[in-house]
Order: sequence, then structure tokens, then C-alpha cells
Amino acid sequence: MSPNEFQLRSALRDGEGDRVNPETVIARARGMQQARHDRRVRYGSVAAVVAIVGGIGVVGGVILGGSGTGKTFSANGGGGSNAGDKAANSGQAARGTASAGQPNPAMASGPMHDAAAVPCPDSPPKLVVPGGGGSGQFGAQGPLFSGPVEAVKVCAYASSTTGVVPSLVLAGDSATDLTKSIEAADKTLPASIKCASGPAPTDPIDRGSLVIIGVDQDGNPMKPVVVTLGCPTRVTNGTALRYSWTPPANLTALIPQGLKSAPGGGPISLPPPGKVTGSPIQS
Amino acid sequence: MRDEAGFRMFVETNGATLLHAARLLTGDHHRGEDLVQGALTKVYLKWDRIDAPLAYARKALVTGHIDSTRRKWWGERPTEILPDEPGRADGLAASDERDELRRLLGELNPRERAVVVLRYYCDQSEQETAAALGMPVGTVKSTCARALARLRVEAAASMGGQP
Repeated sequence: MSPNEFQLRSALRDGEGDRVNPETVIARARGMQQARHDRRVRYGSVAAVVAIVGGIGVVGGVILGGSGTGKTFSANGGGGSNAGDKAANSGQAARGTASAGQPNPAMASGPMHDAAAVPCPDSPPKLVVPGGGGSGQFGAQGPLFSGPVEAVKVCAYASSTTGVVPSLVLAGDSATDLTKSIEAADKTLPASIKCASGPAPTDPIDRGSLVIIGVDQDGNPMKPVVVTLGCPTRVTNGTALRYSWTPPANLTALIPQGLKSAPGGGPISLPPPGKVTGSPIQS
Repeated sequence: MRDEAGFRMFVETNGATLLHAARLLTGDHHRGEDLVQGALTKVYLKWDRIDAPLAYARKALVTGHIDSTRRKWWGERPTEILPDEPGRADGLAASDERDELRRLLGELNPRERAVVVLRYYCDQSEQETAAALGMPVGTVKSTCARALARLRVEAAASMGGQP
């Protein structure tokens, strides 16, 4: 057999005649349309939820960051000098340090949040230095901080502090480095100290104080450590004692201007800043 | 608002032809019905936007068929019972020339089968067939010639004669 075109057409037409029900087609098409519509609605809902959650996150972050900056400004007062700005603009990188201008996700929870929640005392605690400040007393060479520190809150005081207390929160490596540097300071009074205004006095000249409150990994505040700036600088928690610790510039910058000079003496040239850096946030 | 009355009229008029074409393309009664349903659904969804619904339906038909042959799930399925298909010798004994040609049509590849169905069942010109299949006219001519040659050779071989 060698089919010609007529035979082929005839063979192809054989068996035709069944009809298609248009209602079936329309029902199927409507079902498909409905499925498409549902799919679009579902995707649209998911996209809207994602957008809303993202928007809330961004706004929340901005509010958190904004509130930190605002509190810093108010804490430092509206005068010509702003310690918070100076610390923030010190240009030094600060790992684990709350930034004044940006929202910090670590502030939402964790040790930094716990440290920020620790209130600053109205005035630096008056701690009785063991042995009247002499060295060699029992416990004087012990640790200043009772354990590993996850974050610290540093409160700054002038000689006569009134009103708000500028503060700074450090966390992570910044906090650890700060506490290590304090612990590593001189455990005995140096034999000879040269001060800007002459030989070392018996009592340190008060140039302001820092109160450093460590926060452990459970978020519990430790015993406050008081740093009395002067010549020599004295650090104590009431039991242990350190001398001649040099605080980083960003911490001394927290102390209100005009009170860092010794009474009657010349301006103190503070040593170069240490490794620890930071910028002020909540007080 | 979709012109459903117009679509119903279109299906009443052309549905049978399209259904038969779909069966010729697929070589299977039920798959042909599925194919024509899919093609007509596409026509319905675009009814208000297409100028030549019959051409669109034919194109949807052959495109859907060629696409379906590319899908793995239309491939071989393991079964314990062989389908009831006539063998060549049985077929020659039991069927006439038309049945034999239909069987041979199923042995063409999907594109060749689509060209033959459009050209000789739907009475499409080479240009219309080319437009429906999205291929050049020359390719339609060569594909059609090759398909017819295969049909002649295999039909002659199945009858034990010369092409």
C-alpha cells in the first residue's frame, strides 16, 4: 500500500464526530481563574506581611537608635560642650560599643541592654579604701571585678556633680579590655609620681570620678568600681585597690568640661587613649 | 464581561474538529480530550483579546501536545499487563487501510504528526501550519515530505509490498 493524499485525509477523518461540551471547558477555565486569583492573593498577603514586619523592624530600630542619641544629648546638657559628641566623634572604632547615631541591634537584648538598664548613682559611692589607701592590706591586690564581665556601664562625675550623670555602655571585647586594663594597673602605690602641678600629694587631687559597674553574663550588676581621677588615679571597689590607671580618652571625655583641671593647678594632659573606645549612649 | 455566548458558539462549531485533531495528535482518546480541554481553556481565558480563535486554538493544541511529549511523566510506565494493542500482523488482518494509516501516524514523531494533522486533517496551508508550529515554511515542507515518505515506506512494508 502506498497511500495517496485522498486516502490519508480519509484515514485522518475516520472516527470524528464527538463533540466538546462548552460548559465543561468554561467550568474548568473558571476554576483555573479562581486558582490563579487565590494564588495571587496568597502571594500578595505574604508580601504585605513581609513588608509590614520589615517596616516595623526598621522603624523600631530607628526609634531605639534615636532614643539613645536623644538621651545622650539631654544627659550632657545643652551647653557649649558636649561630651557625648566628643566621645562619639573620637573616630575610634568600637566593637560592642553603642553608637550614638545608629541603632544597635545588640541593644535590643543581651548584656548591653542589661548594662544600659543599670542606673548610675546620683553621686560616686564613698568607698572606704582599705588601709587608708596604703598598699599591702588584706584583699587590696584582689580582683576589682567579681568575675568575667559581659558589659560595663561607666558613669562620669565631676567634683561637684549635680543633675544628670553622663554615662557610657561598653560590651563584648571593649568591656573585657577595659576591665583587664584596670585589673592590670599598679597594685601598690608607685614610689615616685610626677604630677603636672608638682610632687604627688598625699591625697589625690580630685579631678572627677568614674563609676564602672560590670554586668555578668546573667545580666546581674556587680559591685561598683570607683575610679578617682587625680595624681595618682585610684581605683577601688572598697576592697581591692589599683593605682595610676589611665582611663581612655572617651571615658574622661564624659566628665563635664571645666572640672578636669586641678584646683589651682595647670591643665592636666591626659595620656593617650587606650585600646578601649566607645561613645555615649543612654544614661 | 467575557462573551461566553460567543465562546459557546465557537466550541459548538469547532469543538469536534479540534477534539479529533487532538486525538490524532496524541494517538489516545483520553489524552486527546485532555489536550483539547487545555487548549480551549486557554482560548476562553483570552477570548476577548484574540482575533482568530480557531488559529489560536490550533496553535495551543499543537504546542500543548509537543510540550506534553517533552514531559517525563508521559514516558513509559511499568505495567504487569500489556495494553491491548493490535500487532502488525493482527492489525493487517483485522483492520483496513484507514486503521493502518492511523497506527502508522502514531509512529511519527510529535512534530511530524502535528504537520500531517494540520496539513491533511485541518486543511491548513503550509504558511498557516508554519505559523501554528512556529517554524519556517521550508521546515514545514521538509517535515511534511519526510513524514509522508515514512508513512509510505512503513505502509508498504507492513503490507509486504513495495513503496
